Amino acid sequence: MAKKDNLSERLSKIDNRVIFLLLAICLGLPLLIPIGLPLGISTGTSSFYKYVEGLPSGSLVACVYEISASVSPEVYPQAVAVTAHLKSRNLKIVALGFSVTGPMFADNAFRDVFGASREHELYGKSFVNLGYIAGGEAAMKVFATNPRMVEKDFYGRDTKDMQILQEVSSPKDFKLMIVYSGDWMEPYVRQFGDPHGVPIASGVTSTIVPRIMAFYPAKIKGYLTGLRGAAEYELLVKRPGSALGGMDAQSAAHLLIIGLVIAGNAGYLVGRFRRKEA
Amino acid sequence: MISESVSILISAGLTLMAFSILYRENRAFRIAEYMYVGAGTGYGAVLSAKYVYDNVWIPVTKGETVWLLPFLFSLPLYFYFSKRYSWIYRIPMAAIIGVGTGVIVAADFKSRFTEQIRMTILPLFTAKDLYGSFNNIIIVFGVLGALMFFYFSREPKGPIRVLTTYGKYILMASFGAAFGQSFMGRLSLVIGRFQTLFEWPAWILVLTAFGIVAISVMRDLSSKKKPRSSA
Amino acid sequence: MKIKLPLAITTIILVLMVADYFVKDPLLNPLVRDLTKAILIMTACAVGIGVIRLIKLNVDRITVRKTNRLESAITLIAFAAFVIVGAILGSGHPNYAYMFNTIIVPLDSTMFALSGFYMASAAYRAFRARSEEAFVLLLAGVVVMLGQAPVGEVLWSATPSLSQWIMDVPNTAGVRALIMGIAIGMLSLTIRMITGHEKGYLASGE
Repeated sequence: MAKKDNLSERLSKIDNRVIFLLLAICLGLPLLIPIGLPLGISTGTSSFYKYVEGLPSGSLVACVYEISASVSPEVYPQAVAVTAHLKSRNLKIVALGFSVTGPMFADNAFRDVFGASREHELYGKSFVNLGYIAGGEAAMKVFATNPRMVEKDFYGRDTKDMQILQEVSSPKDFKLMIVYSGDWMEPYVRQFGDPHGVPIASGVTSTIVPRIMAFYPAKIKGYLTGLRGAAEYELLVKRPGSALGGMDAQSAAHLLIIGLVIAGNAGYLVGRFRRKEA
Repeated sequence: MISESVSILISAGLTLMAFSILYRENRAFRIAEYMYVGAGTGYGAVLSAKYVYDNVWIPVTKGETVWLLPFLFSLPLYFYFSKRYSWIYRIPMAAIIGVGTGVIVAADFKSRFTEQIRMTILPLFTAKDLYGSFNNIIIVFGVLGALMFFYFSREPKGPIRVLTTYGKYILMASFGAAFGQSFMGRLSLVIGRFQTLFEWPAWILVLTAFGIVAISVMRDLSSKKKPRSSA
Repeated sequence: MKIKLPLAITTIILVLMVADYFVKDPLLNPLVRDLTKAILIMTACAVGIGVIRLIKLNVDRITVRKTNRLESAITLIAFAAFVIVGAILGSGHPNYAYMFNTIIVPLDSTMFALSGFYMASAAYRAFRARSEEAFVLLLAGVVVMLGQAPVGEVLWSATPSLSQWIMDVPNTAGVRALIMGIAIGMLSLTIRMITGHEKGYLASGE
């Protein structure tokens, strides 16, 4: 009898550091010894991919990098996979950021996919990094009314004579706006989607996805859900990267947490049953 | 690729210093934390200064002196630091708040209210799509029930009570979904950091860190002191 | 004057911004566009307040309060390094990107990654099915977590579909209601600001 009480109490009182250690093992071990569990493609990723596939070659795509370093492990792999897809479809990329660190990740993505950024021969013709535009949603409103507002790109070069920007005179010239974000998507729907009819697709952290569902598919054409979305897109564009490698670790960690929650609830219910009996 | 190896070592070192809080509060974590604040602020300051340079200095040197006005009008913001004249700071701040709110509010009501109502007007019964009809019923009555749940002016009775109870369960399901997604997101960040730690030559630091923690745990256990928990 | 002037400025600007959204006018629209661009410049200039506070606080710790002196010194050194290198090389320079990727990215992402561990511990301790509502929350959370990981499909082939259904249907309904509530709250806040009843944003500094 006493042994069962101890077990139920112990189940609901595991030390924090033991939990941290178990989680670290569940996350670390599959990264060292991959299992290779099969990965299905979710609705949001499929919609995103099909929309990009449907764009005519040479179309302009705006890529808004709202990536901070804190969300980069989830969202940056999405950006790399999508940029590779845009490159393979010959789509023209205008990258910009309304957050301070965003344009730096755009630069990293161009280096990863094109091999170089500002030094590349196609810079200014097939892709450009307009840099940081301060002001949050007010800046989005100004950009939406005048996409040529940025006079110097992220590297300090004049944008006036850049070939890619000659095709931009209004937000409607963008056939798609892809937003990589760890924050709300509503500002983009408010400033670009509703007033100007710009189709929006998003690569976001898992935390944001529940909020996106209210706008999908009417306003947001497709979405990538965190690291899983990045892994799915890497599969679709046949460019395996860090996201696919992390899926086994995610599975192990999810199983651990569900096991711990069940153990905690078992301990709680047994304890409650014992108290009622007493 | 010496610079890449150095970068990996520094990144891994800073990551391990930050992760050390999971065992207990310590100086290494504080150093990482304070460095994070300083570096982030410095980087933000540089980007903001560049923005001001590109949008004030360059146009002014080209003859568009009108763009000097917002720069001059922002200087009263620094009266924030004055005890006697701090009220002056409110004037430019009022303009910033006015524009910031104005940009959002007009468009917000359309996208967050009228468009949401439009998207919630769904057919409740379509003979050819019973599954879709079932989902539409859940969504329509779920939205109504969840909205009614927040109406506190009168106690709900009868059918309204049934609706608000249903709305409560819909909200619980959506909070559960939000937790599940949120947790997955945080785990992805940990996976990202672990992937960095498992690159060569970060292994050296990882093994060193494990050694330090193991020695620390053994010392704590042998002295029979309970270490301070970090959570 | 100290309260009324800022309130009047906010009211006038708010009315202009809202009018700009609904009215197409050759005088009003360019004025509001230029006003918004001017505010962007002011917002960038306001960053200096945070910078001055940071320097003041840390210098204070080193010279007067004498607590965490090493850490405060490191804050100031890191700040100075990023500002000086950024001013000399420019924000787009590869060496500056190297500094950003080596120092800021690992620190920023690790600070947030720590919350993953704390969430695991919190979920274990707090996620108890104490009532029917808590049970629904727990069930939805567990199904969505399993559905998002590949192992969910291995355990039961319907898990991803069930997870997607929770996201598409009950979650959409709940979030839609919350978003509409927020919109109504935002509207009432704006009316309060226009009529001068909302003064919280006018809190003064030191």
